[in-house]
Amino acid sequence: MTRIKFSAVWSMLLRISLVPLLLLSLQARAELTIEITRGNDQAVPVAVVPFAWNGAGVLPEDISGIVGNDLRLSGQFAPVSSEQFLGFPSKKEEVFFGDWRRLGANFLLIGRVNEQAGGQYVTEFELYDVISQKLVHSGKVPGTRNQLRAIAHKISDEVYKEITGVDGVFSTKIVYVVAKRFSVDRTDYKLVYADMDGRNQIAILNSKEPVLAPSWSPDGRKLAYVSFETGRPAIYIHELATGRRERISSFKGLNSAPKWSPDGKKLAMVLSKSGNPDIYVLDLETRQLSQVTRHFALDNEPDWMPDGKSLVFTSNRGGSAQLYEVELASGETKRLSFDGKFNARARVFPDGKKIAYIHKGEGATSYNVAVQELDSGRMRTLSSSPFEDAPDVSPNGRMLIYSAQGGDQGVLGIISADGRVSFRLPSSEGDVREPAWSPYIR
Amino acid sequence: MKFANVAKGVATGLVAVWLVGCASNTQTSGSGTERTLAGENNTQTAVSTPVVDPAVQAVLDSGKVTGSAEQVADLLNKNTVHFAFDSDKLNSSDIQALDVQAAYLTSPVGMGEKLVIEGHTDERGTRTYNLALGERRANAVKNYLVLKGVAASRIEVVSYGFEKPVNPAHTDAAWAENRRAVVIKEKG
Repeated sequence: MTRIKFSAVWSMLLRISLVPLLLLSLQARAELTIEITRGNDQAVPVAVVPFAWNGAGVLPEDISGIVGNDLRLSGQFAPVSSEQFLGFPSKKEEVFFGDWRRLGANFLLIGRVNEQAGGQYVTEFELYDVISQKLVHSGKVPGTRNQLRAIAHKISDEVYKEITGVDGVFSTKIVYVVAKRFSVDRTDYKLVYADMDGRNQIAILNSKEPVLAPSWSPDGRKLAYVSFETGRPAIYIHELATGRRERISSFKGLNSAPKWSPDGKKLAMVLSKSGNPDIYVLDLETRQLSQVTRHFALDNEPDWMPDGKSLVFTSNRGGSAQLYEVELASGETKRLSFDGKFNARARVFPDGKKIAYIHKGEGATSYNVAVQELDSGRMRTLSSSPFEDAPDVSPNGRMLIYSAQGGDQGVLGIISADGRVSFRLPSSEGDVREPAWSPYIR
Repeated sequence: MKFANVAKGVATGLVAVWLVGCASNTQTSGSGTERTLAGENNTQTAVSTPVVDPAVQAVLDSGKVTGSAEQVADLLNKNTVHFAFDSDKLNSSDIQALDVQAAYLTSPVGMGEKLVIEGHTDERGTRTYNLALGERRANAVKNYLVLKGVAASRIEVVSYGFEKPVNPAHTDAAWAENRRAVVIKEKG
């Protein structure tokens, strides 16, 4: 079963690894480190045994460390500490299930990496159900030394999918902005591309003027974002593989908050060329621009429903910033948020049933990530630092990334969509903000 | 890229050598030229200083505002107005300064100047929301100046939201400083 599956995985790996390999020389130091801020007592205990190494020197990447970290980051798994291990099996014959059951592990992952001629490495792994003592999943993945980290993330995706039934997001990417302020007139901005765990950072744009609001194309090949590099805000489309950029919108006034449509053919954005910020949709093929909202209030921050037929946006038309949904064909608009005086920058979950946004409660002073079920209208805040911004949803809908200001410098947070587990990705290099989570890259 | 830079460097060097050559030629050709140059320099060192800044005088001459030359000079230098939280309403305390700016900009002295009005916010709320709020603040200033006779075509508005705080602290005082619109004059 797994051989066929893994040839597909392999071809996927080949494709996703092209961009990082081409730009490897530009890679920055890894400055994001993960800190657990809240744990989950209902997480599934899993033992990830260090992979055996058959090759010269030491294993080039800590495969089991990466897999364990990924599974912990999902919030749904609790890797058992390796200090408790009674042995380090790497083959079925070496596994004594009783030992693992006594440690409380429900699942056991073992594996090995074999160095081959010509710089090739073959990674094999097996996932066992400790209770039933059965093999539930296995795989064999060839790759080069530089691909071992990506292979580890792929193993995490397989383990996650096997146990939860949901696609893992450990091979996805994030982009975010790092700002280093020297004075009111001088801040250096960097748009950074990285693995979802914050590793393998590549600065894809450096600027002396603000960069913000990145949005991924649904195929994961391009970004749209706002850059002030000409001294005025404009929207750019940036092709990741080539670095080629196109200025796509530079009207008088605001050119802000671009968001790619689910079919990749359109870009929703905010323009104030008529004197006031309204929502527009640009057809990327015909370059035709259509105005979606016409209101004297401030309309802002659009995101698409998964069917592409309506947009969620922020407007202060009711006297305070609240979320609305507008159907594109009819223009029919309804209000979605009612609780508190500030609800903004919504992102729609992949199933279209929930939205994440920034919420400030009645009388509250902090701005926090909240999730609202659209059917019931039920809303709950997930996190609690003073100034949070820019929530974005992982492509499997299980995690959110956001920025948190208020300390010495901005940091990124990752939180499970149920709010049970959260992590901080602090940076030693400046103020980190404006994260955007990539789609699955296939 | 690298080659282009090297080529540019070489070219600059050559031009420099040529210029040095020219300079030494003029030096040897005669001393009369030097005397004339020295004479010109002497006349330029005598510069008269006006008692009142012409911009201030233009405002006083407009008859549109009242006050002493010192008061007008202070208000003319005040190029920043501040706002309440989540508001784009001008404070009455800032109106006088804007009246002086408008009087100057519509006077013969200030007529040729173009303006950029920057809008800024504090860090509360989302970055993209604040980008729009900052534009509203800059527009509030623009609309007031237009009302006072400054042509709208002379004014450009740009919002930075909270990308460029004057004070990066997370305190009420810092936020009050950061919620601002700044009028920048550019000679036409």
